[in-house]
Parts: sequence; C-alpha cells; structure tokens
Amino acid sequence: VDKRQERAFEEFIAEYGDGLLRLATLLVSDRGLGEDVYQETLHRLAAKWPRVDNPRAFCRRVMQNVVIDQARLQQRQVPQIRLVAGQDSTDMRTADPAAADSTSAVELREVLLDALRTLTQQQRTIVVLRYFDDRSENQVAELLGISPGTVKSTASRAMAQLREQPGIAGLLTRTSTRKVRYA
Amino acid sequence: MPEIGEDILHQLMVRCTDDLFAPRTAALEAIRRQRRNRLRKRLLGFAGTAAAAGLAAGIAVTSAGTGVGARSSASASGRTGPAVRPVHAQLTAAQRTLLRLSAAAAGTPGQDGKYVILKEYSTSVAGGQRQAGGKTTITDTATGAGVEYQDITVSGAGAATTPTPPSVLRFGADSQSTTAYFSTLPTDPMALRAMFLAQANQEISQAKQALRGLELKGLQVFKKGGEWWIKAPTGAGFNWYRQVPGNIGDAFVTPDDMVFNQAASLLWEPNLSPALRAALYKVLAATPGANVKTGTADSSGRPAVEISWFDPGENEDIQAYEDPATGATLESAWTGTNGLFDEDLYLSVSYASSIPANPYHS
Repeated sequence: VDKRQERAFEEFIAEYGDGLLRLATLLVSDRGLGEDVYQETLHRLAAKWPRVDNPRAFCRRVMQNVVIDQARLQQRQVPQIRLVAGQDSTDMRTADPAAADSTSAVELREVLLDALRTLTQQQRTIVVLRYFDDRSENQVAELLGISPGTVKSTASRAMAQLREQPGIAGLLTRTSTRKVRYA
Repeated sequence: MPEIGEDILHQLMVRCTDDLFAPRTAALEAIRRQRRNRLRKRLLGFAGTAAAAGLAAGIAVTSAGTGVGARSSASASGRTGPAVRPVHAQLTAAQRTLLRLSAAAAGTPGQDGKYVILKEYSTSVAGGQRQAGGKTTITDTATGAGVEYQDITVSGAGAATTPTPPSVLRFGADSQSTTAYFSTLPTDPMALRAMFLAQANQEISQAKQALRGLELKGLQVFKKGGEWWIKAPTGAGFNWYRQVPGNIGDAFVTPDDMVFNQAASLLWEPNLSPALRAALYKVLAATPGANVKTGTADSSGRPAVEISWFDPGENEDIQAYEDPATGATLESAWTGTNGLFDEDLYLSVSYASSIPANPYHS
C-alpha cells in the first residue's frame, strides 16, 4: 500500500466509517460487538485495499463474513478479549454536549437492539440490509447466496416478529412526535 | 397499536445509531498495522517448513567482510565457506556493534505471560496533519488478538476544534504475533538468514515475473515521484497512467535489502524470545545495507544504538533505536516522501495475566 493509496483509504473511511460502524452495530445488535466487527472489517479492507474495486461492496461482503465468524465464536463460547465495561470510544462521543438528545437515542437503541436480537442472524441481516442499508431484494440475495424469494419471505416473517415486540410500540409514538417537531 | 412498516423501521434504525461515530484514529491504525505487517506476512508458510530447511542447506553465509555500514552490492549467495567463521579482526565497526547487541539480547532474561503490554508514544504526520499521543497495546500472546487504548491528539490542517477523545481499538487474531509462531523461527542465525533470503528470492522472482507479464502486454512500468506507475497504450499513443498493483516494486529490490528489512522490523515485536532477538541481530550483522551509529539517543534521550536503512520498495528511510544494554527496541521511525513521518517511542514492555484498565480514562 503506497502513500497515495493510504490517503485514499483514510478518505474512504472518513466518508463511510460512521455508516459502516452503524451497519455493523445493527447487524450484530450489540454496541461492543459492532465495534469489533467494524475494526475487523477495516483491517481486512486495509489488507486488500489497492486491489479492491468497489470498497463499499467489499465492506458489506467482508462484514457479513465477520458477523458469521463472530456468531460462530459466540456459539462456541470461545473466550475473547473484551473491554472493561463502559470504557469505549463511542461512550466518550455521546458524552459530547453537541450530541444533543443523545439519551433518547441511547434509550431507543436499547429497545431496538433488544428487539432485533430476538431474530436469527439471517433474519437480522436481511432486515438490516433491506431497511437500513436500502439494498434491493436481489442485492441481498446475491450477497447472502440465497434466492430473492427467500429474502422476501424471511424479511416478511422478521417484520411480523418485530411487530410483536412490546417495546417497539412505545417507540413508534415518540418517533412520530419527533418527526412532527423536525418537520 | 400502530403498524410497524418498513419505512418506520428504517427511521428507527437510523435514529438509534445516529449518535455512533467511528473512532477517527481507526483508519490510520489499520494502515499502520498493515504497513508493519506487510513484510512480516511474507514469512507465512515459510517458517519452520522443510522447504526453508532445505534451502538453508544450500546457502552458506559468513559474518565476515559483508560490508555492513556501506551500501554494498555484495551478494550473500556468492560467498561460500563454513557457516560461521569467527574472524574478529575482519569485522567492521557496525558488525561489532550488532554482535554486541546480540549478546546483550541473549543475556537479558525473557518475560512470560498471557498478555504482552506495549506502551508507546506515537507520532504520525501526513497530509499536513499531526497525530500524536499515548498508545497502550495489549496482545494475547496465544492468539495475536488484542486491544489498543489510545489517547491521540490531532492537530494541523483540517483537524477538529474539539480534541479527539481517548479511543479503544480492537484487533483480531494474528497468527504471526503469537509466542507459538515466534518459536517456529530458527534461532540459529545462519538458518534464520537463509530462511529470510529464500523468502526474499521468491518474492523478488514473483514480482519480476509479474513485471514481465505487464511488459509483454505492451505496458511500461516506471517510477515517478517515489511511486510506481504503469504507462499503457490507448488508441494511438501512450496516454493512460495507472498505479502499479501489488508489490511490483519488489522486482527492483535486492535480496539483502529485503532480508535486512525483514529482520530489522521483526525486532520491533515485543514478545520475542531472547534467543530469537539475539539471532536477528546476527542476521543483521551478516547482511549488507545498514548504517549503524553508536553513542546516540532516542527522542526521549535514552542512550541508544541507531540502525538505519532505506526500504526501496516503500521508498522510506527507516530508523530503529536499540537499547545497548538489553538489545530491546526503544524507538522506530519511518520517513517517507511528501513529508510523511511515523514514529513510535516504546516506553515499556510488560506482561500480565489479565487485561489492564484503560490508562487514558480517568
């Protein structure tokens, strides 16, 4: 990786890093694990950087693999290096007074991540890629190596399951209020 | 109860993550780690294999008269004779210094523990920005995975007005930073050098082959402004430029340059055994390419031996400062083109059985 490419890498992360971290957090429905997945994705991207044609597509694919690896690790209960609780970078960021209304985002996140955690990893991946990342059914199908029909039916079952989550209903009202306020 | 539609779920997911920001130092860290691993990664598949041992048998190296201290064009493969020939009178001052470092490393007791903790003060200058501050890297010596606590301040052009908060980065398992991996490397200096040399020759021949492939396609490969470029024909004339992929610059690197770079950068690993560290200094002594200066000091004023060399592949000047009393690395620095500069001042190396608390959070 030469200097010019290193700078291009930094610029890419400056532009898309936050989005990738958010995608990772939703995919695994866990803040700390999301940061792990983000970091690992970055390392894998850096290793391949000069030869990656479409870095965003590459990250999406790599992140998917990292998520699967993480899920396997969790199943096998392999002890992993974890942080001392509550001491991570984004905690510091949310302490920033500029990030106004962050408490409501934190509260919202807890409820939504709890609800997402009731889904299987595949359901969650499909829901997040479809409705957060705005991928089409065909794109999600290609990424996961399944048929578009399976994407459609899985997404619809996952949505039905999410609607049954009690915490979600409360959020909806607040979201509407907020929407009006910012309208 | 209102129906959750897809657009509402979208809105919820966006709102519940819009206060999450990626640590700004993460990209830089990924690059640095990548850069540092680049040479070490070349060992993969080589260390401890029969191939390396077989190649070692065919190469004899002496530690005498190799011209360390001046950039010599002498090639190791041209020399024959017994594997080790202790002719002290013929050693250059640089070689004697490296051998003293080897003895110091061999005489320094090794440490052990589940985690190796490296405390650094790191400085990085790029694109008019300066990032500097404390870093504590904790690596699991069994898996190579770890966590890095950082307290880096960004200053200069384009830096945010609010200071960068302390951050935490995690990195995944790296099979080449483990005690088990290091134990597969030969501690016999000649076998170690032979392994590096065989690997270097393979890398260089692969790069040359790739280069010939490009040239056969009518592409011209050339160096401009410290970077490699391809000049390709489009239509009537040559007017399309593109950067050369991969490590094609290696086609223009000598095996000794590559061996030196490999051995010298391995010394930056905190968890090497004393025997391996001692062997690496002997490999350096047997390889042309270094400038060795005694009686200098690192940037914090600690007495040091400075070893410096040029990496033609990356177009970088590299300096390492070693502790004359223990053979431990005190500081390493890269200076590249366009004012790029990276420096790690190693403050301490220690071992622990559990991950220590973040020193940068009060």
